[in-house]
Amino acid sequence: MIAIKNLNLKVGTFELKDINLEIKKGEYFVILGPTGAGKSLILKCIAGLNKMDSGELFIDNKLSNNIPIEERDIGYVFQDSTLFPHLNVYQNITFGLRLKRMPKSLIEKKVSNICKLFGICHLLKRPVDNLSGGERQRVSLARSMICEPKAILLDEPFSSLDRNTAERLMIEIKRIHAQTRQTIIHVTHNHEEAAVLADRICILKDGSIVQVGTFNEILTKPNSEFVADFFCTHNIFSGFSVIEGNVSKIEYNGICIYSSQLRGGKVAFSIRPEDVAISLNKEKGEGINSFRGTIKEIIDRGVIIQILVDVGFPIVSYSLRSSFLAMGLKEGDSVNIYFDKNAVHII
Amino acid sequence: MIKKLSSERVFVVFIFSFLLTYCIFIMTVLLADVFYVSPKRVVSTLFLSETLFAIKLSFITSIISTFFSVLFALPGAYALSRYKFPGKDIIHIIIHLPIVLPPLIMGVSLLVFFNTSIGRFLEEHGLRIVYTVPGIIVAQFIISSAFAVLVMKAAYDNIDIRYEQSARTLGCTSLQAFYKVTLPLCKGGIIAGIVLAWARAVGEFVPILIVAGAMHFKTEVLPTAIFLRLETGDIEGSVSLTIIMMVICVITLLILKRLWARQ
Repeated sequence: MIAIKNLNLKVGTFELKDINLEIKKGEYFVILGPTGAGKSLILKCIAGLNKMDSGELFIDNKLSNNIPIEERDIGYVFQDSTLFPHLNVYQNITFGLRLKRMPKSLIEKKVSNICKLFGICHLLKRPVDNLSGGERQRVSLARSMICEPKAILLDEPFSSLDRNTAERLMIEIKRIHAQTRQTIIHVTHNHEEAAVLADRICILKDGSIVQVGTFNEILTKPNSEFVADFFCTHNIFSGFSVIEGNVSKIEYNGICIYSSQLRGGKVAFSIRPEDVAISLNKEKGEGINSFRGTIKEIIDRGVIIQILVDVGFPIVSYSLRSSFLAMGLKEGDSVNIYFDKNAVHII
Repeated sequence: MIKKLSSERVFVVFIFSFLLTYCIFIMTVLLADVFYVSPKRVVSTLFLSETLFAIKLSFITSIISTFFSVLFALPGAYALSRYKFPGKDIIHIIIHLPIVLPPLIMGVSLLVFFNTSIGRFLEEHGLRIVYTVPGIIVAQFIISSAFAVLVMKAAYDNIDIRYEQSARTLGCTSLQAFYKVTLPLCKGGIIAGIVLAWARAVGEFVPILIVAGAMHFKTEVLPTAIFLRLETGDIEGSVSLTIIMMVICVITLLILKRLWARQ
């Protein structure tokens, strides 16, 4: 539906390098990466707000590099909403429809539908200055979606909202996307948004695509130390691997760790902290990757407690608050940690 | 706390004392005119046919020159504000020239220009400027347009370009985004530019004197009329005209401000 081929663009000292992407019709695609990775620049190239130095952009299989912004039929919602301050909510929402000289009856019908979808019927007569952050973003989304564009580009739409509002809006967008199957490309640096919303994710680093896949694929099988680190894997190590039967035996710091992935030689590997179980009981958790160690550090992250255990090497485990309290763990305790061979991902 | 409050009060008194001194200075200078002549003399000067002609000519020429200033400034300032292009810095300097150079230089330059082959060609083909009413308009335009461009550029600069980009993604062409979004958003700045351009035009004197001369009932605008009275030693008449001009300008600015506030 939207395809980018070999996109290159230099802006100042920053460069987008050889970007290749394909976004399917109806897909919720998230471009995820740290600040300054070039996420918004890709959106701007798709919308036509930035010209590409080289490469091709296809919208509905049509080469669109030189199509003017207004003819691309691509909606764009900015980080902090760009509702027109001289128009009220109704006039903002109908702005695109009035440009198309749509009959008034049809406009009213569309406004009614979109307002019900976003729950903003009560805001229609309000000046935009009187709206809260969440309301502004809802109206911005409605203004874009009412035009039924081929795709809507969301440029960090929740970053200027408080956490609760952002979470509510996130859930609403997920519901609306499920109902409308509107193609959406969403740019963010927040993993949680990607986890909740994305059908597929693209990880961007320094202007280059690092990995594309579903959230689960990227989380459990990062293809680089950068991706693993970006997803806060914590446990990223490197060692020497030898294939023994149906497992890889990785030697790290004089300790053997087993992985179900078969690869020999020098390898980097990661273990998700939530896959690392912890127990006081020696017997519990006996298995292929089971180690005895001492708790070095406990960090309270609210629902999740992060526990650093020294088992000859430092390994981080996430524990639910309730389990943590039930075990009564404290720094200096001797504990057993264990994880499955499938949890050891060779990068 | 008390110490903090008192230091803040001292600061407020300090900055306001400068503001008040400045205002008192201006008002004292202007009020000196009011006390110099009797109201009767001012009224009698106002209804002289020469004065009425000067007022009428001042209004007509300043409105026309302001119209042309805005006509050039609206798109010109937008180009300066929104686009990067080679020679932008040079254009910036060129636009500042009528403001920073003494009006005398602009007047002399205009007179010299209309004595060059291009100027003579224009005069021969109907664009008679020297010692004519159009000369007044050109002299006013060359100064007031620079003010209009700078004020309007500042107004455009204050408008986030993403409003226009949003409008474009909603289906606006560049021109539609300009008049449907940008212009309404910087309405205040544009009105300020118009007011400033008009105020400059109506108060212009030296370039008008050089280009259009100071001919009774021909090229006599209000500043020229004041000058002619001074030249003949009619100080009271000159001061009366000064008061009339001040009143006209204040009333016009008040009306425009009112209209602006209503918008």
